[in-house]
Amino acid sequence: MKAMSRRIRVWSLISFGAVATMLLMSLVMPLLSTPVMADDATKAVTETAPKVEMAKDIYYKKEGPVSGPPVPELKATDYPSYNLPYPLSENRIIIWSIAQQHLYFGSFVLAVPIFCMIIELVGLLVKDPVMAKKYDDLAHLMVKISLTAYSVTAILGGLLIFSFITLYPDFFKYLSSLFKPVMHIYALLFLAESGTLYLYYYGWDRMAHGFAKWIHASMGVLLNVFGTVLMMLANSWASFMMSPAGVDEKGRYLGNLWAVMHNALWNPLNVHRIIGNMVFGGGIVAAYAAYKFLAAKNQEEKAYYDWMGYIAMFLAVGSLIPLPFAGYWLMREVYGFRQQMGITLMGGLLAWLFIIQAVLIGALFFSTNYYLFNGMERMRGAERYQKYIKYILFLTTAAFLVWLTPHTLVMRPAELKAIGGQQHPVIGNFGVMSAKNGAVNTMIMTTIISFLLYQRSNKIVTVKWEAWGNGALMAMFAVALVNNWWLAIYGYFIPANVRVGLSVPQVVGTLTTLFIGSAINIAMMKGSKLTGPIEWGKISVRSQYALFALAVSFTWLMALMGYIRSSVRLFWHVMEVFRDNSPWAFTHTIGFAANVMSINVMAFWLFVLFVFWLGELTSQHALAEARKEVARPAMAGGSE
Amino acid sequence: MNRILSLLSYKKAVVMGVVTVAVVAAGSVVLTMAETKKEEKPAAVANAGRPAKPSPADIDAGKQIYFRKCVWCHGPEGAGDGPSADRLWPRPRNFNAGTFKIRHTGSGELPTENDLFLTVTHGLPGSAMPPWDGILTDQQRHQVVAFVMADLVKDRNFQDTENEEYHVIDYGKQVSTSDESIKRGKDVFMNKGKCVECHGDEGRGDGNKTQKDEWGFPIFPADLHKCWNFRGNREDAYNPRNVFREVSTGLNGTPMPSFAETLTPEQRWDVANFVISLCTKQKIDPQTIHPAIQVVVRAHNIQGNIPNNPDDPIWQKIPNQYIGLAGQIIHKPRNFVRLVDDVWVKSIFNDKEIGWYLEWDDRIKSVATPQTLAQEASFKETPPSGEPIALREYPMFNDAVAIEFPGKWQTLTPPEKPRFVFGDAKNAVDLWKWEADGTVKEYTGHGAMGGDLKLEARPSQNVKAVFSEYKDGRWRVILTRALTTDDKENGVQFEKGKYIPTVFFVWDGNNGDHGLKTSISTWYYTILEPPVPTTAYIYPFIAVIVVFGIEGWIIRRASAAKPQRK
Amino acid sequence: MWIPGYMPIELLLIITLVAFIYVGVNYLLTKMGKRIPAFPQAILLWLGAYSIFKFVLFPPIPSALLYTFMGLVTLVVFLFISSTEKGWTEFKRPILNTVMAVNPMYKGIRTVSFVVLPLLIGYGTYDFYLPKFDEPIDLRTVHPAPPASVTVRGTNFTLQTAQNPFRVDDNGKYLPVGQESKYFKMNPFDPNAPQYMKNVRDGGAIFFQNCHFCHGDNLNGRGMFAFAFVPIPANFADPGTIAQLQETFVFWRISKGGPGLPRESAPWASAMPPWEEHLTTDEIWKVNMFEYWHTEFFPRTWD
Repeated sequence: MKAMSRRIRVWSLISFGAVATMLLMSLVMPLLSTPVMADDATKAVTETAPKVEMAKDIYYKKEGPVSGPPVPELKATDYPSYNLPYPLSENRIIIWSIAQQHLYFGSFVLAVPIFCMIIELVGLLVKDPVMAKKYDDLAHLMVKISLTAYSVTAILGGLLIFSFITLYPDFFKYLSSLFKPVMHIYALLFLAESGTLYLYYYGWDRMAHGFAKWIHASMGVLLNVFGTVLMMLANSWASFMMSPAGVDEKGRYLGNLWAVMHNALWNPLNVHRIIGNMVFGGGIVAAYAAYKFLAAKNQEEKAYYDWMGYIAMFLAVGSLIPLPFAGYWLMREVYGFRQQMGITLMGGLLAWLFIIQAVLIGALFFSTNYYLFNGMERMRGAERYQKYIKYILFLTTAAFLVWLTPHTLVMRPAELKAIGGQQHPVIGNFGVMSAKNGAVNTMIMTTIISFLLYQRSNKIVTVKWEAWGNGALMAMFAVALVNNWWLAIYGYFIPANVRVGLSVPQVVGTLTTLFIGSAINIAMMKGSKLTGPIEWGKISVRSQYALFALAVSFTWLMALMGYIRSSVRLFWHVMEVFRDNSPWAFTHTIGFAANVMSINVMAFWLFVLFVFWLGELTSQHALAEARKEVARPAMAGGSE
Repeated sequence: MNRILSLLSYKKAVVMGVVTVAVVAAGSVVLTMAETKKEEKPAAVANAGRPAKPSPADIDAGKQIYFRKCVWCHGPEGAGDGPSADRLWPRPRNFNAGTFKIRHTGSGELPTENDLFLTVTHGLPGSAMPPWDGILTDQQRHQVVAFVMADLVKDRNFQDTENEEYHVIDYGKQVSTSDESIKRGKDVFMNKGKCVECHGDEGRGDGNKTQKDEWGFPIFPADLHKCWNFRGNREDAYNPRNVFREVSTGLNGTPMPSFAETLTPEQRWDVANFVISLCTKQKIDPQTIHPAIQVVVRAHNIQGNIPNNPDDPIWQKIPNQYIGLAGQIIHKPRNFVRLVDDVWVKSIFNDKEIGWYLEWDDRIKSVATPQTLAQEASFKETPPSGEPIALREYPMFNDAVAIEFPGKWQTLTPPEKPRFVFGDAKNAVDLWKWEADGTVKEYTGHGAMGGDLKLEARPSQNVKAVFSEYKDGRWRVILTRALTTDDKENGVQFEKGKYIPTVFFVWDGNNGDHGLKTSISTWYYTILEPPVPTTAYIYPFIAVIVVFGIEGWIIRRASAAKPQRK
Repeated sequence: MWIPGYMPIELLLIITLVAFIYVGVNYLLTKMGKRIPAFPQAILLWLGAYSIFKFVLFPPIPSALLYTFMGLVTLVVFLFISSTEKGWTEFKRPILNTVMAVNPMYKGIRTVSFVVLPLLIGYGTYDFYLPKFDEPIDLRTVHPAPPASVTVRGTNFTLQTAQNPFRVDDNGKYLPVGQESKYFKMNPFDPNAPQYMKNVRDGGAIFFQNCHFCHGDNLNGRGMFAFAFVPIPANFADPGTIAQLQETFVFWRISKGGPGLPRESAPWASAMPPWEEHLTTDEIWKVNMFEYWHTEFFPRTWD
């Protein structure tokens, strides 16, 4: 029986991998073949009509045949606008808000299948049948939540296209002339994605057992493949606007679609967005769980949603850890593409927004730690570790103080005079990269420590090498922290290009504590004595607000960073190629931008509450059963 | 240990804590005072002031520092002829002859090591010499002093026991300041000490304006109303000890003599107290060692007419506001040596007019005459490309003062303004200029890029000088204008409660100041004080009632809950 | 005495010290059985942090930052107190006791605070509506994005690729960034100085004839004219100014000065002259070199 099931697993995986590849091939082929065809076309054209004009690609610096019209020179009157009251009289505010909502829902529906896939697989692999059922139901519930969001995404996407066509007709015309085939594939993929999603959701119960379950799980994989490709296609035109390629200086298409898509920022943006979506999706699901926890009427419900919140938080924070590195890559490529663009972002016009970003990131760390501290309360035996909370909090606070302190301070002239310069002689030093790297690595490490303590809360270590293990853990953290701080200080004394390299040992130290630390910790927990079960549902109400804070911070951060990424183009539709001559081609004040972002965030949350409520209407009955089973004591989810 | 600790009760612990904190605080106060005293008193008194021979290692270390930090002004040979010297006034010190101004030793004598150390530490306010405290460590400052004493003072030798005497002054018993002491000090100032002959009747340094220092460079007596500019104030402007010291030792190399022989220590303390009493009391910004700058000028609302006499109680009631001025060294001709470094302003308005009172110290009244202006052409030739200073060798132009506003500040999104240097091509400024010949003109400014000053006089006559007076080294001027005029295109229009950007300029005619060669401030803001809105009286009332209501509700809830608890 | 700029880490050390004293004292008091309850503890912590930021840290930090810091401290104190159910209950007790007026003492406190609170709020509201004469806070971008290229005195420089022609090694070849540290301690007035140091000396002379009036003898933005200007001249000795910028960025800033700044950097208030009016491009490059030599910073490079 066992061998049988293993064989089934293997075969099903292989077969679905094959199906997925074939489907993907059909998508990639036209893209790959375009350049080839273009080359052929070039040859053909040069043979028959040698007078075809050749032009140089602004990014790849290769010659190519001019195969499209140049960008139009627009006037302010070329932007038809609705006669709405300010600020809606500005076309870009409308586009901005709709695009923001579309992206929110889009990233949510892209992220949820990733989690579903993971959780469903965990459910399949877990040996304990009760836990397996629990995970499976959780995955099912998540798809359900995302189902309504999926149609909202589609509606918003349509709205976005219509707004583009009506409000920025010439710009849209230009973009669609470039991305014609991509847009069609995009539409087709959207259909495929929908079909798979419905099949995935409605087939859940029918395909619950045996080989069918494996097919079902593979469908989850397929769903994610479609979603990811969809997003990458959409990213290609977004990144083209920032870092155009495949066109000449006048914006004329040079016949190579792959060059247009594969521009300088496409891949960094893809990676950053995939990870960002996961963080965001986890946050939303955690918020959903918190919402349900607070609304729960009995202990069973509480236990279930407490557990669900924990899992979602864990997934969100787990995906958060690589995000800064992806962001770092993106920024490097931005600097590499155009130095001014980098400076506008980090040191210039938009630098003030990074202060808000710093605050929000701090909120993430603090809410995560706080949630874990509160989570320890639901385990008997956690008292042993509570005395360390103050040290963890202190380190996090000190690091955050450094992290938060901006380089250029907001101040009145008299205060400027009192300081004697734009930079404060003491805390001004916290404003530079070197200090920030030290600070953020410290914050990540304290969060890791919190997590390790959380894992240990209800266990008494019984392995013989306990003292060695603890010693190794402590030594490792001490070395990593001291190394991190020392490098942060050392960074002030060396040239910038060398200093950039210092972040590598810092990050390596942090990741070492994360992976090896967790590994040692898990090994030490082997055969440990339980002081008591995790009493799901016993967590404080405060911790659930921390989950909300986490989710809202994610949303705000996304609005903020999206705005920064988009407004760095300043007065260009397509950077340095297609000038934005609309009356709104100036950069708004920070206060105004922050207000628009806040309104977008609020609108999204209202929307989300509505979606949750819709989900509620049908879920009452379906999940009652699952909750009963969950009330049974279980292991901490994190280490499983 | 535990037993001892448990003996202490909680209350005792609190008392002990308070006592400890008090003791520590008192101790630190005493120590700080002792520290201050120590710094005041030259350490060299003990060995009669003569510096010990510095070690070669220190001299070498000092040389390293000198050729990094000091050489640029004081020159590689210490002759006060570094690259910057020609554009500085006062000029950097020439160390070669061993002539040092700020000392504790007798007139003509070499300074103690500590004197030089304190000069390096605190700098010489009012000159280009900055405080090096916080930039060089104590040890480094001692080392650089060692290098100066050993290698750069060439004509004299600190260790020459035969020819070099040290008479370190004795502060005696300090006479603390009082009305009587100040009165006695004034008497000494006016009569016995003859201080008035150089420093002038009001002490604005306008007594003798034609003096030269030992090297033949022009020098002015100190303006005693600006004690933050006293070279020897050791960053402690209102401390009479510094004045006592300078009166006692004199300033070597300058016409300021020592009064140690002619005045008793008590009389010198009285003079010191008097001098400090002359100085305008302001909060000193420790970073700049100048009066702290507030960039908002508050125009006070008055009833009735704007008085045309600055001694009128309406003007007197309003505090003077300090406006710092720098030389205009942005465009040619550059004013490296600006002799006017501040202007004091007051502003009042009624429902029709706004009035500006402007006051600044200027040792020489200069009014242009046809003869002096005829030399303007030759003046233009005078400064070669480097624009070196030529103090008082220029022909006389008019002393003048100006206030500048954006022509149309209402149309600019804050914080956008015209450029503060006479506006720019895009945004014009409205500039009101009063000149010492009594004329007032309104100008439209479009900038000065490349030294091309685009300042056009307008025919309008809306701004009036209702008062102007030069007396005892000080100009006082009152300008008035209607709040709004018909010239909305060029003239500034005032509104209550709005931040109206403002720049101030002063020209010193005898320094050759005219046109772009001027002293200039940065952008300030003028606010015509708005009336207190009625909401300020209504809303607090509502707030109090609401909070009371909430509290009442809480109390009701609490008393309802109470029996259940029991 | 706080020596500005000497030890940026000093603040962190002080905070750490205070934190350890706090933990130690708390431990001793608990041992004695005289544990300070959570509520006063929270207040003490808050006040302690406030006094460090307000009174120990010198020069004073801007109010906006002080509010931010205290906001953070408030949050952290709350997180600390409420991280365990026990602590949270203990913290809430005096507040609940006051509200419930459990005994005559608490009743007294309740009466007093319920009278004072509305009055305070009333005064706060009154104060809020009074006309204010505070200086407006201007957001100013200190390092705006440079243009792709600048034309100075007829020569065009592409900022991403231009090099300082005076940055030469002993053989007259371009000296890569990072290798100039061997010159940092040399005497520029040494007659046998290498070419690099001769260029530094020329740059220093130009600096002290033109720039030090504002940027100061120690390049720290505290020259004799600096007190009159807002914004204050840049402090090159700070690791956040020229140390973060490319040489070509500094070249752009010197040659175009205040009028060459974009709008977000308040060109109207900057007293920086467009130095192309006074200096040749060679002189600007040399001043540039002197600034890095004197501060011992390396210009930023992007390789």
